[in-house]
Amino acid sequence: MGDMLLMGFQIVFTPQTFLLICAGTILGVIFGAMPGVSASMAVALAMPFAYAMSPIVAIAFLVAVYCASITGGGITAILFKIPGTPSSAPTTFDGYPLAMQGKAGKALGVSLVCSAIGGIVASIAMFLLSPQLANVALKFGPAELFAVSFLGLSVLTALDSDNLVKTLISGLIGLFLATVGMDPLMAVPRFTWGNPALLSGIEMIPIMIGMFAITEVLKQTQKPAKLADTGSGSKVKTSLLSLKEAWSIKWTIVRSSIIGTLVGILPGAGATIASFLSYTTEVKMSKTPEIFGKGAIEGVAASETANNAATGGSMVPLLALGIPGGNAAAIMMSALVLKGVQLGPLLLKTQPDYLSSVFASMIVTNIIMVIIAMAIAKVFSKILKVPYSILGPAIVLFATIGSFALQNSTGDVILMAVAGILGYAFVKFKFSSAALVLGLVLGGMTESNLRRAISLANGDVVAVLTKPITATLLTVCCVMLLYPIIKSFISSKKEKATA
Amino acid sequence: MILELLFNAALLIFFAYCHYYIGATMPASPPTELGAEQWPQLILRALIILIVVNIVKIYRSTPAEERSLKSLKEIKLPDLIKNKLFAGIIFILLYAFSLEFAGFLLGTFVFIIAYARLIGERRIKVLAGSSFVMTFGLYLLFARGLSIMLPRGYGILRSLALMLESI
Repeated sequence: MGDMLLMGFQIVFTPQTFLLICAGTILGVIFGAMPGVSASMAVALAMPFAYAMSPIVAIAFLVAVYCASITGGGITAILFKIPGTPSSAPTTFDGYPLAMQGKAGKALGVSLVCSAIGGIVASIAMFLLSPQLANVALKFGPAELFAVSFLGLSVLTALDSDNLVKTLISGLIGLFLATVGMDPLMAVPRFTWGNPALLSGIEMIPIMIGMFAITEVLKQTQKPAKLADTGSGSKVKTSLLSLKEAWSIKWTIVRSSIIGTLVGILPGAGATIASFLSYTTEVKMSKTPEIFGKGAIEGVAASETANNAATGGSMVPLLALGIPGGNAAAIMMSALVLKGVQLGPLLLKTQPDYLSSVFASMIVTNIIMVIIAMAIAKVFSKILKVPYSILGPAIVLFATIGSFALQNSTGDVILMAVAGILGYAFVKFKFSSAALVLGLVLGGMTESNLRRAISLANGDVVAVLTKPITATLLTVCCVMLLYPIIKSFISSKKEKATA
Repeated sequence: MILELLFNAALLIFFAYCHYYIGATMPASPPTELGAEQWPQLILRALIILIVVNIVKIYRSTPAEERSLKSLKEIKLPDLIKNKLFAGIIFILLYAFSLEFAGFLLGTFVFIIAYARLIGERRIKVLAGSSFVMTFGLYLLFARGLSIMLPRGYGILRSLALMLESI
């Protein structure tokens, strides 16, 4: 083990590899911070550079781009409420309110440090437990994956317990939107009304950008009096977490690292689901859930720790089994296959230098990423000095490019605009945009896995739901779903008794 | 409050129609499977029930005068058009719908000037300068730097966009 570790760091600290990791980190943070350039797109954009490198250097470089792009997504989420990558969407819930309170620097510091910790924890897990974790992942069939996605949905009740019915309606609208387009199993068109543009479904990125960024611009257009609070014109100073602050959120970081790593390992789950799951778990576990959504550093920490931990997790099935856990891992895999590397169980035995170099490059990337991302965040935060009369249209402009770049389609821009207007109506009538996005993110995974599981069990729903892992996870879901209802029932009874 | 009730009623009508539509347009699935139409139907049924519950809650908690349709008559068209939010929504929609034929360059240049003016920027030089820098700067960055071609528009606008891309 020690020899492997040494070998990994020897590879990473050769001048050429180290410089390429630094370059990959810079590229990744910038790409990640650009709305519309997702982590997988960032890796794809970096691919041409990797062709000229040796396989080990190429994977170290691509891993650097991947990890850094996930972190970069948090910068614009905090400063402008535009999630740079889908996995940064939950960061906007508390990161942007912190920026509104003039604490953008603090939010950025929490985001960067927690990203690094999450990434490092996941890479250690990957290095020490790759084969074992991969075997655990193999035990997760459609029924278990359905339970995982349902676990994510069960936290809907925690997002806004004051407006439970409206939050549930919002989540269900998200689930409904996820059903538009070709059905995942039978390829039957649903809710397309004969429009071929709807066949590929409703993309989640334009919806997220619209509901968060455009809605915010519309809010500021309606009430410009609030502009003084946004920090426009003020200086943003990025500050790292103090030891005391880090200690106060230690359990958030621990929980989010574990959730992120485990969800990252599961095929088809990925960083977006990890960050949502982790955020909502924190809301559930918190003694003060009411502060979430209003600028809680635990919210930023949960989301950013988990999405970076998922990057390490997604490397486990890639290296140990040759199964890519997500889009970015699939692109990395294709680069390595093109270079003649055969990924899979034998790789760890015949060429352990791959695992050790990926591990070392992830550790190095996550450390240098804090410094590089801080510098880049400072450049981005200078944009906050621009008066809102210019910044507002600029945000719409970035949101437009982010939505268009996804599929080179102006249809996505229209979708973003409509989502922005719907988002404003949601704010006005106290529905939950976050719940809608959560439903949209988890909808596809929930449906396809449930239907696959029922089909495999020949229609026996009971057999599907009583599998050990599935039953355990579903029990947790029930507890999480019913807890706020029981809690409010008990407190109303107590109030009546005292009155 | 009447607006909230109308919003919920619109949601209810739309989702009830979707429930009818999916049932009427898709064949029934075999009993051993959860069919392509059954999952959306489950979601839509839950949605319809919850929206009805929400409407009843709003109706009960609202005084009679506030839920009267008469309050809608108080909204006057000239005031609505002058409303910044309404204008902002129209600008964003026009921008989104015009991108395809007006192209990124013209559409964005005009949009930034119009929206910035709407939310308070009056200096013509600042409006034109910032709009020019953002529009052309971002177009060049994405087209040349990232090979992401933004909408070119039609006719002369397309020629201008192609010329910029070849710089």
